[in-house]
Amino acid sequence: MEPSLDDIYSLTQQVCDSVLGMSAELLEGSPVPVRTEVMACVQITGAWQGAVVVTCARAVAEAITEAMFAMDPGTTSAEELDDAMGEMANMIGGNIKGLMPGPSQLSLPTVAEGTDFSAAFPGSQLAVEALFALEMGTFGIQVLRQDADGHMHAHDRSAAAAGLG
Amino acid sequence: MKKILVVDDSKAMRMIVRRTLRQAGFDGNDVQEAGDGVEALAAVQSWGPDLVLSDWNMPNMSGIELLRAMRGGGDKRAFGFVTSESTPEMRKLAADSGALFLIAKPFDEDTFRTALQPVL
Repeated sequence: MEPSLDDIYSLTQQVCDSVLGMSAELLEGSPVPVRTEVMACVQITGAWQGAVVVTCARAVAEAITEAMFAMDPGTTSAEELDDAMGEMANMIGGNIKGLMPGPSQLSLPTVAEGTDFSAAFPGSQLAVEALFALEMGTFGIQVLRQDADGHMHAHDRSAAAAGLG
Repeated sequence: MKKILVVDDSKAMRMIVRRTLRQAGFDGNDVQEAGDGVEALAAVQSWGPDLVLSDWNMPNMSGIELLRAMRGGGDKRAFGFVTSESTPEMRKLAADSGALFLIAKPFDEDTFRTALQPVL
């Protein structure tokens, strides 16, 4: 079982509306870009296993952070950016966890930033992805599902790393 | 004026909870913050809030561990969760452990007003 694109769209819109005060438009059919500058993820373990990954350019992460903290443009610290992007992954991941079979556990968020990193989720494959447009740019959401046997499959690994440059 | 302790490991979320409290009409209350269950437990004992609004998933001590520690020590003060996870199992566990409500993230001021009005 995996969340539908409609599920992702609905809960992402709720997060953007109520937390950021922004409207997010789904860019249907657009893949999440391979290259990214900020990645935030949470992992789900238990009856359903996988990860929820949020990726975007640094400028978009800064805008999300400024909206979340209600702060002036250009004043974002690295700590605040990690906090805000981690909370984005936590809210979206927590809601996706609630849509999947339980019981399961949600991890604390992990945030990575830079232009030369890669992330791999061994044994996982891309279940669904969505690209959203905010006023200042796009951000991607990828839901990765881990096989029940937890075994590594080469084609799954490459899919799981897609979008994480 | 009531004392409200906002517990969340995300500073951004603590700010959003404070903002939502104001928008919901609870701006006349004294609000303090804690970054995890350990800090919250210390603040409960030293500051004595009337209401604890806590995240569930936090490092060091989770929200449910905080609630159990309070109830285990005979502390019956009002406690509610504000969390991104709101499965039926978690709502039942929260209620069985003594929480008055569980507000799911993302939330709005109407949700806060409905949940907090009976307490405040």
